[in-house]
Amino acid sequence: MIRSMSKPIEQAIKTKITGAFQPVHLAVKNDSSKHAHHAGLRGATNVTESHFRLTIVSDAFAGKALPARHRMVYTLLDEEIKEKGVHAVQLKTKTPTEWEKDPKDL
Amino acid sequence: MSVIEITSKEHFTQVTDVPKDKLLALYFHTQWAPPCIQMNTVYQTLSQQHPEVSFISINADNHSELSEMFDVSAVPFFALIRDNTILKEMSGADPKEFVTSLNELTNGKSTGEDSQRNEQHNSTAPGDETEEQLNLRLSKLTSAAPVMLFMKGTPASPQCGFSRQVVAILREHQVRFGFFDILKDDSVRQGLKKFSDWPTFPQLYINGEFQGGLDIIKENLQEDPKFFENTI
Repeated sequence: MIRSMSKPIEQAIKTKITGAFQPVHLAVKNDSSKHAHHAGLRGATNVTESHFRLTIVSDAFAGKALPARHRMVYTLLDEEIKEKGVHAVQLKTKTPTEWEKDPKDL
Repeated sequence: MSVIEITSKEHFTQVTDVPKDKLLALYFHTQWAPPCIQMNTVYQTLSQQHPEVSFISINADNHSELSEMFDVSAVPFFALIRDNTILKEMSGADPKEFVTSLNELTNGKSTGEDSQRNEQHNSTAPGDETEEQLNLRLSKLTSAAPVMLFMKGTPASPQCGFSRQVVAILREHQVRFGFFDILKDDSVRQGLKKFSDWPTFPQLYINGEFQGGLDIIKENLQEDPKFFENTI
């Protein structure tokens, strides 16, 4: 219980992405501890949920170039990025067909 | 000795026709780049301290043929020439590097060091910049070089791991690129997020077109190892 409550942003990301893209595969990794001391985070209050690595496999990406796919995710996570102190989101966005060729999480 | 402002290509040919051992300093500038205004003064002062050197000043906009001859893609741009050989060239508004090279060359020493080939593109905001002016500045900046990297810090000293990785990738693929340190200019930093519709940095532009951040560049290279050759 305490564990899940201590990760509100990660939970929000999962919920939003699941709702919007109905992914056949979703992996959310939290890299925040690796970046807790870097320059961009000086003075930041959120250092435990600041850096995420997402792998999203969904049909929603079909026929879209990479920048467009990433923008879809950034738009969805606008609040987390602008207001909740999420500093970096690394993304791998694949369609199920693309994923089959190289099913590796970012 | 004062700075010679070039008035024509013929004038340039004439003033650069000097004895073999004479050091020539070329300074390309424009009227619209604020860093040049500061450098004008520095250059003028240096010319008085080094009377043995010919200090030449060239308006890059008015003399595009000369700019092309020296492959000037960003101002301020400096070149130090002796005996028809470019000994050193550098871009950016950091007078220190120029002064150091000048001192080395006037003391008869030559450096084996390669000049820094990445060009920093400076553009300082006027006091009250409207959104329109900012967008104009951003569209100029994003196409200031065929490959433009908007990063945190500089290639020599990146301030973020993702920016560092993009620099490493560009170097590995021997891509010559211009860069802009977004930590130095908050209106560019905030404005470019909107301009590119992209919330994070680094951002890479090729031929004025937004490419993406680190993940996309990596993925593009994975799909096509000749991505840069094919895109630039």
